[in-house]
Amino acid sequence: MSIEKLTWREAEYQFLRRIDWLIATNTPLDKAQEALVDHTTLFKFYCRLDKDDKARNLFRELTLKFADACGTSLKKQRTDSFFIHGWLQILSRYGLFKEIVRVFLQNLRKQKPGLCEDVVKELSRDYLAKDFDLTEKDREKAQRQIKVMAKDMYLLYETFINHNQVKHYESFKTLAKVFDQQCETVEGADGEKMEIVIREKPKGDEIISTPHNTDARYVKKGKQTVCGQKGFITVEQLWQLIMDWDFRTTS
Amino acid sequence: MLNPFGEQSMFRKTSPQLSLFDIDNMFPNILPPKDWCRIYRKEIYPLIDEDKFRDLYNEEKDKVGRPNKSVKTTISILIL
Repeated sequence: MSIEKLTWREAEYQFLRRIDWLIATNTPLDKAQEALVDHTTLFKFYCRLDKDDKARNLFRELTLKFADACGTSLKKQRTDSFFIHGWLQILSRYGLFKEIVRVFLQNLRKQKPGLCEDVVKELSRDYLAKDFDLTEKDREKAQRQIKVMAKDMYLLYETFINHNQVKHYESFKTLAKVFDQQCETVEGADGEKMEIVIREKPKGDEIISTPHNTDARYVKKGKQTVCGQKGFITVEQLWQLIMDWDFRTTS
Repeated sequence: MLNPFGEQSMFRKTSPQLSLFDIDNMFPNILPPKDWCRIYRKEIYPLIDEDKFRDLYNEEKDKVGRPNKSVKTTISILIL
């Protein structure tokens, strides 16, 4: 027995093909197909358990008893770390700005179609277009576009910051936060209009990397760039039983 | 509202009934008696109290539809 890294689908696939799993789960051969838990059910059940402390308590209780029944010493344990890759595209600043605005407008169109229709006319581009590209290979063009999109973000911010409902949307709060982290407004020379300057480095520690998961952070480990969460597992060294786990965002 | 079996939801506990087609009956020596899976089945599997998970199935939408998959099996797969 050792640590197995299985996806939900792989766990479903293994169930009918592993004699040790069938024995462990007390599944007779004639009932194996009936007892099969498909990957969706498995995942949904896990999600339900995840909201409840009893899952962790049960896991601890069962693992300790299992270790004891196997005669395993718990004196030697080690903690491993690993990355849980999110299904998130790694966005450049160009992609981040575009996606932030698109997500906000998409939500606004759903909640307040009239308001959305009015405001999109003021923006520099159609953020809700179907053929939407989050990359720009031409670096100079990308830099110019970033400035234009920053103005769009500021326009949206100014338009809705005092709106009683829109200002409470999560997508609006994300937009406002990203604008604050990535841009700053400075007074124009000789009393001209206010200018928006892109910061060289984003402000603060908790930098938003994507509107789809504001907790996800990019981190580089060797050659790989990860956007997702970091996990820790404590493993007993003889049988590699997992004794405890913890997850946090990458930083 | 009760379902046709007099329970509040479609929650079902795993049947304790033994089967003729149990792997130990069909292939008694396929794995050694001290293999982890036998220890798990003997020592750990009975400790999973399905009643603790009954409230996960008490939502309105679960009062209709097919009965749940075995909680013991699902938890065991998650552990394995």
